Amino acid sequence: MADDSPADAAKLLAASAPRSLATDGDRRVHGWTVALLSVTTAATAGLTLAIWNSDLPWRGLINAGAQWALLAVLIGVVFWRQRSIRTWPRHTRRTAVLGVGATGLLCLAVTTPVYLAGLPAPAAWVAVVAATVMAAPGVAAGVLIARGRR
Amino acid sequence: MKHPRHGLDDALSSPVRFSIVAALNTVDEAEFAVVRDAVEVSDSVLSKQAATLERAGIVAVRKGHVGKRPRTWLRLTSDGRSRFEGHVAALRAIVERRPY
Repeated sequence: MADDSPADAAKLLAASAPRSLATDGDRRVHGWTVALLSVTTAATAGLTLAIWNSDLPWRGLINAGAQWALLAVLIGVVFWRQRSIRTWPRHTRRTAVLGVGATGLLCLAVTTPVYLAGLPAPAAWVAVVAATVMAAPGVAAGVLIARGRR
Repeated sequence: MKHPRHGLDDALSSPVRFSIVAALNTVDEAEFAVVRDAVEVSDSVLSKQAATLERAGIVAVRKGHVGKRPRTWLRLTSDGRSRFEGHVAALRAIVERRPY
């Protein structure tokens, strides 16, 4: 095909912006993955914060259990995503890294000063609020990915 | 004054390669079979054209496994994405009969 005549160029131009290869199903899987990873990470950080320095019996065991549960969810969700998806919609990687990264940084920013200062465990409601704030960027990223650009 | 056809990228002059790159431009990465179905070509044609685009630095090919099943993923490189945009701009200039 001689693609330098206006008619040929017009044909190619019409094909230059096809419908996205990404399906709504792919977007949902990526969005849920990012949201679940963030919520689980924030929930684990919140739980650790809530029982930190407390005189709760079996504190160490609860903490270890939470870490193992977090690891199991991380592996399970990533494995489920790998089996389910066939595309990575546009900008999904960047949005996921920003969302999960921001949640991870917030977890560190909230919990590290408590550990370093050796503060007593905060009230349960404070830990719940902290976990909600920590999860927020990842959940927002998940929603953005799931909605996507049509 | 330069005719806009000089701005066309030789690697994208084939309609099949152009269609593959246009499809990949809509995603970050896509599985081989998804691109094959979208462009309506056979496995061997896509494989050959993807290898050509990979040699030209436009497409990156990643091979992996899901369970025991092998899977091949295709994505545009950042250079490939900008070359595609340049090619489309040249096509647009040809259609609109204006200098590139």
